[in-house]
Amino acid sequence: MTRRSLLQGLGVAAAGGATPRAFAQRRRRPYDIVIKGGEVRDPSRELKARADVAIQDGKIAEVASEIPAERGIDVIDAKGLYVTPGLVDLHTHIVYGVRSGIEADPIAARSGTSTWIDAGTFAYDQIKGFRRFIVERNKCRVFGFVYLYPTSRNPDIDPIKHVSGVMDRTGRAAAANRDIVLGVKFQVGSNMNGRYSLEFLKIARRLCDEYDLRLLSHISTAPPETEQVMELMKPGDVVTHCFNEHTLGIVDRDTGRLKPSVQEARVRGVLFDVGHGSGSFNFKSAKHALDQGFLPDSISTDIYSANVNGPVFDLPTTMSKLLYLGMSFDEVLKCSTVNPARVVTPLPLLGTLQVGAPGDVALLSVDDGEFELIDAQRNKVTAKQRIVSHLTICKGKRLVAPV
Amino acid sequence: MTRRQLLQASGMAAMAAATGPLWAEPDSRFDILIKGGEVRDPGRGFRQKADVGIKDGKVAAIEAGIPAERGVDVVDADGMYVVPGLVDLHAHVYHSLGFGIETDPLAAASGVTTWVDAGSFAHNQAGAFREFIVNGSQSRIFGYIYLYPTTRNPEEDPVRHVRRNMRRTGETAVANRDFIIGVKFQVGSNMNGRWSLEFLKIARELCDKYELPLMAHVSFAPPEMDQVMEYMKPGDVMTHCFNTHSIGVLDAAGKIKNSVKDARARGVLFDVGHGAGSFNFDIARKALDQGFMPDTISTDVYTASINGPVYDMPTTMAKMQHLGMSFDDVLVRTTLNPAKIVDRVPGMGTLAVGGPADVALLEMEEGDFRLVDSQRNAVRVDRRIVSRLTICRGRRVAAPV
Repeated sequence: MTRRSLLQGLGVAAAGGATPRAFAQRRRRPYDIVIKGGEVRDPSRELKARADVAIQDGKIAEVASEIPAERGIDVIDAKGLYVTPGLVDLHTHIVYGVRSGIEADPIAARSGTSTWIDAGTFAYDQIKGFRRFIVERNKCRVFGFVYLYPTSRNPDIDPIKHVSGVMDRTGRAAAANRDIVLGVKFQVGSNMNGRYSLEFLKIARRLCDEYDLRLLSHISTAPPETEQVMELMKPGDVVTHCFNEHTLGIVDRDTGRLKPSVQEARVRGVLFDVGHGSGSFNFKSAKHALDQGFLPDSISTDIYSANVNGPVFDLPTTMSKLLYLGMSFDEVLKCSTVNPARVVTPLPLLGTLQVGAPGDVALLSVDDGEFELIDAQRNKVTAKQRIVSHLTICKGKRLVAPV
Repeated sequence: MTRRQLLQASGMAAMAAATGPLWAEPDSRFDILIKGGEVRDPGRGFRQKADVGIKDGKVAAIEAGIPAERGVDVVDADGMYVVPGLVDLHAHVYHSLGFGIETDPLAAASGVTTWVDAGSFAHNQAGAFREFIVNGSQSRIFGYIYLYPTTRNPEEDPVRHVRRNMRRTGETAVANRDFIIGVKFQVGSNMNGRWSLEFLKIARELCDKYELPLMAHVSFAPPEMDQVMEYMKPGDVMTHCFNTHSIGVLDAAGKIKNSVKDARARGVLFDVGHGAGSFNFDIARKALDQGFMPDTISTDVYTASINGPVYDMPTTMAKMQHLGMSFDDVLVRTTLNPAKIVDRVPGMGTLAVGGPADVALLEMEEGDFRLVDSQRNAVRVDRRIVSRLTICRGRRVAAPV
């Protein structure tokens, strides 16, 4: 028997055997998953209703007040739970084994987080590995911002010249991988690049303009000053670590007032992201901003090996901190679904539960009790509520933690 | 039927089957039987026509006239050399996350069963190197960890920064001794400007403190070769020994430098590390003419050298043969010598019963071939070594589809 005839034989067997049965099953039970009896919350269209959700072929197939259980193969009882779009974490570090990267899948399974965006754990010459080892190996959805690395092994080389040289390579590599690379990450702060931060940021700006890429800017320690950074941010760019307590922050450390340059940047469409991390989320800074009506555009973790066991833990924990600070559940949800999903341009309906959207769903609850929450400066508060994930569905499948 | 009953039933079924004719007794045949080749194992001075039987990842027999019936996979090695799997002491295999190449396709084509990455990864990449490269390859992978002098803050004092990396690098190396065999550092003004010698001193301190061998790349002075050699200890490797650069083994008169001779005398090892820029026929010939053979022959294969001038290990071996080294002299420098430096797998680098079944089937091909060095000097040769089959851990290494 040749290879070809073997394959033909197998094809015939499949056509004559399994397939019609599968077709018949499909007619009776068209949906891979039916989530029944939950409270659907989809901030993308302000939908808040008791409804069932059906998923078929990796996509949301139906959202209706009653979908018969018989129509689903896997029927999930969501009574007492919120059924929400799968959570989107805009700021993570998940190039496992490189720098502080962690493995996404085990945490995705327990945290409702179906989309993970790596905030620059990889450089232009590592995109291939990011795709092959991280994007393709994870069950959750993975995207990333490529880092513009200002590192050279020759201290005698002019740093500006070096970064300018890396600029084009970074731009070309990002442009060639737009399906997974969402933009460019750069870390601005004297603690990162000494006096060179502003010059480097200008190169990052030029890079994003020339290659039509979104810029994700970390902010930490001045100089440069917030005003100087904001000047270089354009609509659609993201400022992360917005509730840090460092000198390069959004509130004036003396008066507690939002800096005018930040308000102006927001007006023209610059996005502000939490990016909790080991050092960049402070209850007091966040409270100041929220009190002045400055809600973040997105709530993200900046999760990596040094903070996965605290103070970050996971996205629901970070969401709980903003719930504690007075944001409503729906506001928090919006900031961890449809808002961050906006930067994922390859998937326009991501972060929603609209029919045809990616089949990513989180089953959440808001539990009552007494819970200790800790910010990056180890300030402790006791919260009366916390957000808990019960199930993560991604690409139409339940995510299970690897053994 | 409960789960327990089901398990019991299936256990009984298995026992019943085991007593049947199909599983009457375990297959005593060799997994692979290599027949009719000429076994060359320069490490033990073994050279004769013999068949090689492999079972359970080990060499199980080396003897004449083993019947073909005794092998499951019988390989006809008529006209070929059956040699220990080749060991490439200087390669870059941290692929997709750096400038390394993927080993599986090249291993299948080149007889190389053990690859030593010469510092494509730093202390903060060792986890990925293990997960994606060591665990993801059919061949054996080891590596020298790189002491990276890179910082993203240009204002930071470079020496202070490298000193800080020193500790992290040493601790990472010690925690991963199963695959990290030492520290790589690149010495040359083209690499680190005026800082090379200072950085090399830190690398020396690191290796002393954590008891790790050092592999030093040499390229452009300053520092001078004499200064570099001062920091090399027995068991350390100097790679790119036949480069044409200003840190080289030859002096202006074409003689081996005294500091190099002294270093060799005290046990410093000299490695070819061909690469895109570091192998020159003229330099190599002059060194060989003075009896200065390399301790190891390696490729320095990476993305910029794999499509020429390096291609693969057999091509590099062919160049050394062209320069007058005997096949056995070349072979011992690509098997036992580098295997001793790796020093992680007992018996690696030779072919002995009970040892690891890493085998290469090589053939001397005759014809008209062009060999090119790193400076694009071309020579024509009428024979070259080619690989016909690579076996690692008792299995054929297959190129991915």
